[in-house]
Amino acid sequence: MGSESSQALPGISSSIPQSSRIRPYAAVGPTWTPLPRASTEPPHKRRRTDNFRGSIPPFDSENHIQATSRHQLVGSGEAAEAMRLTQTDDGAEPPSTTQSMQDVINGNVPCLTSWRSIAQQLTLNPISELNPTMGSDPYSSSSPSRIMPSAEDQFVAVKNVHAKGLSNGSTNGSVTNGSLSPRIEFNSEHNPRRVGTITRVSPPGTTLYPGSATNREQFVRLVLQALKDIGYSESASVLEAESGFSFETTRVTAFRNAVMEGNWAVAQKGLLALGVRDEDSLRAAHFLINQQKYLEYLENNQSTEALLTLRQEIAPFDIEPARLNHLSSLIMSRNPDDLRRRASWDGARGNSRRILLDRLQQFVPSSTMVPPRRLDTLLEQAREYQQHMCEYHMNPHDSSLYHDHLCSRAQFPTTTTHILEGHADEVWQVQWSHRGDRLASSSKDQTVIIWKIARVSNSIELDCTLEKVLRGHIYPLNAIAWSPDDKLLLSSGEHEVKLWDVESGRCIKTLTEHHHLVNGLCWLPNGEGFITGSMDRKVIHWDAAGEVTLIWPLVDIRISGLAITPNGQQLVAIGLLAHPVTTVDESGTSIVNQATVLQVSAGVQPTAEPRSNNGNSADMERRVVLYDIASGQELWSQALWGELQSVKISDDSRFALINHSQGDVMLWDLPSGRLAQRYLGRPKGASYVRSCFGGADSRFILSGSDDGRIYIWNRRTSTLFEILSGHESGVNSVDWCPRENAIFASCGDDGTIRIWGPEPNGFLVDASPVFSQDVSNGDIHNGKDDGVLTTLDRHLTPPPTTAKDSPLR
Amino acid sequence: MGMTRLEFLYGGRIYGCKKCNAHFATIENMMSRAFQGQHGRAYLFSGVVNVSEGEPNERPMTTGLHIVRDIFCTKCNDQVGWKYDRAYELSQRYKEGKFILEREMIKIVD
Repeated sequence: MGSESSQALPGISSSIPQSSRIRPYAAVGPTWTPLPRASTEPPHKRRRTDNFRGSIPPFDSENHIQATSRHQLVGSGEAAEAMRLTQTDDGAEPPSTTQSMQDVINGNVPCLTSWRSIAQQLTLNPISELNPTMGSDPYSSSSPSRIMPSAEDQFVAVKNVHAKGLSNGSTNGSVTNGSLSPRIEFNSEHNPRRVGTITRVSPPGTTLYPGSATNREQFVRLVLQALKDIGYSESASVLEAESGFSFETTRVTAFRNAVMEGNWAVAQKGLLALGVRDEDSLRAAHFLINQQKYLEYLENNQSTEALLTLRQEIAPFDIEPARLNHLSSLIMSRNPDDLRRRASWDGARGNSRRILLDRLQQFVPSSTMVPPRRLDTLLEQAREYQQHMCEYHMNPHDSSLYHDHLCSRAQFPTTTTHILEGHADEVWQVQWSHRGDRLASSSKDQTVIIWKIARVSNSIELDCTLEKVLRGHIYPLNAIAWSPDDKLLLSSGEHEVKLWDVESGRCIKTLTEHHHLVNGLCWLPNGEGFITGSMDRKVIHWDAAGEVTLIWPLVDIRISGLAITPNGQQLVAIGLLAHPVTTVDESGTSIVNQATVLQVSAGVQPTAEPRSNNGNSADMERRVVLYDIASGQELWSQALWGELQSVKISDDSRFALINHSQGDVMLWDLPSGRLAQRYLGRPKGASYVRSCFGGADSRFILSGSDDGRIYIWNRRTSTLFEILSGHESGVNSVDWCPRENAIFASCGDDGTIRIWGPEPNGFLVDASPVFSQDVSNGDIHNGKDDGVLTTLDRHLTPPPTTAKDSPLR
Repeated sequence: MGMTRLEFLYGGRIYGCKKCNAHFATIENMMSRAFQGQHGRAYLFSGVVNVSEGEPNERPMTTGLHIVRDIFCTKCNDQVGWKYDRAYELSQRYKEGKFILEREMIKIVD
């Protein structure tokens, strides 16, 4: 186990279980486990135990570097001697030795005196190779005797192992095949500052730790790359010396230097030498180099050379004529700045050579030339994986290499923090304004109520007030929609659509173009107008003032839901097929079959032959249809059975979330027209329930249900991880607050709207205000009741609880 | 409930509420056009949707004594006709369970 490397990246070593550090290894000799004592007492044993038995510190993250540094060379009598000398403040060594060693390890300016001293001590030692794994583990709880093997046996073991693999010390059993990195035995000649030699450390095996899947050579080369990139070149050379691996062969370094210095001929030859064999890659790489050469000539005003390059080296390469023309036109540039601007090129002195190198690197095999920032890339992948696996992910900023990222449930909204009462009947939809400061709710009682939800300054409390009641509808409200700038609100009740001004609460216009129920109301994302869709199969475009701008020809479905993609290009409509196909023709068969497969698994049997029905539209065909808004064309349609209740589109305009009467919530991929994901767990229900995306990156799917509970799934894995209770009867709609990241609202048949947030801390017994408004009288009270903290049963099968009576938790 | 729920029919011709367009029945369900209601002509249908039924009461009609219930459009609550619960005369038995929609209250809808 390389204690050097474990110090450089403490995160890795801490995650290795202790048992693996000392594991019997059936190799030549028991190289990984301490040997039993030989019969002859080693001469230095007592001294060693004096030093080390008592001085194994408990694992302490601050000091462990210090601690392990002391143990580095344990296992060899003379080395132990050296350690002892360096540790105690004998006059022989500068008192800051261990400190300086720590500096070396930490990557500070290395102090080489320590190395020198140790190297000097080591030269006394007949064995030039050391096995640092023995007993250098400060975390181990095994007895000291195991940690400190006898010196003699240590010698024997070391001799056995390394003598076999060695031939004049130039190669060693750990060379992996295919690697071009040369072995460096001593690097004293490379660095004049280092007087002593750095001795190579070669643990057996090829993996980073015993039993680990990471190849040691690959790992060391990545560390070398990172050290060199940061600028710790001394550490890098020491690591190269000690490990025997080098970051890249001289050929690669030469190639790299050639490109960075503009030595194009050498660079081009170097390509072949590096293993770029494939014709296409070679051609592409040569083109890139020649292009850079050409641009640099032009920049330098060497137009004849540039022309020569263009004619002889670029043009014969059969590139697209447009590109060739563009390159040729660059000759006309008046001055270097103009050239740089037109070519979108950085200039020879800028980043262009490095960019060129990066691009060329893609053609070279990655083991020859390690891709840039490789270690950082791998760590980034680990970080993304952890965030991906984080179930209650609310806080993307908590990210450290020391521990796995995992958000706790305490940050996730699981409790009702406010109950808003104001409607006199079932509440069917809630929707946050785009800014997240207001909530609109629509109800069977024919009103829309606008609530103001504001954060009380400097606290986690929300202040919820009833702001406006919008009256005027004569039918129960079916749909509402905020305009993108939150100044206007659309609402529909049966076939009437009303446009309201939010500020004044006044109805600007009543639109009666439709003659059946309007359930699809959506604004165009640019705010210039809106589109309505109705059961009368009409899709109508309006402008922001409420004037009709376009009426589509009748569509095939009676629209029960409409949504526009945030990019404003496409429209998703769900609805009931108005005139089912009565003859089973080619396309009809295929639609039925496709949908049948989907639906049989959901338990719905499609009718084999739809005829004039007896009013049982539950058995009639439904469709999801994607339209292009600009052209009005139908892009694809998918037949389904079982009522489709609501549709919402993800922020990236790619997915549509559709609730199904069978209980599942479907996620459809719009570009391909396929079902991407299905979220199960809800019971079947006939109510029109609306679901939503939640979380900062839309990683949650939330939906209400007829059973009064709110279901929350992980979007990617479709795991149902929360079921929240609280509403006393069916939950009709949930909406995640766009501004706050841990709040959502829900509404239900019990006439209430609930705001949900994270559990408050245990000691915060502050009441969440419960607002009771008497809407019918028109006077609005804004007083706080003697609030009751409403918390909810989070068990999956809750007993029925009434909101006001649940005990304080 | 989540939304007002209306049934939608399809067929050759759909009759619906004159005031609010709600679907009631299709021409395939029509059994007779030769009835008379309070407002004039009325049609007999074997099945209608989107209607709610009132209380049964005995009513003497031109064809005899019947028990009927008034039916109302579920959307706008207008009375649109009645339903025959029981007919006392044998020859009128065929009407039992069927619905009358008055021509004045319905129209052809799409």
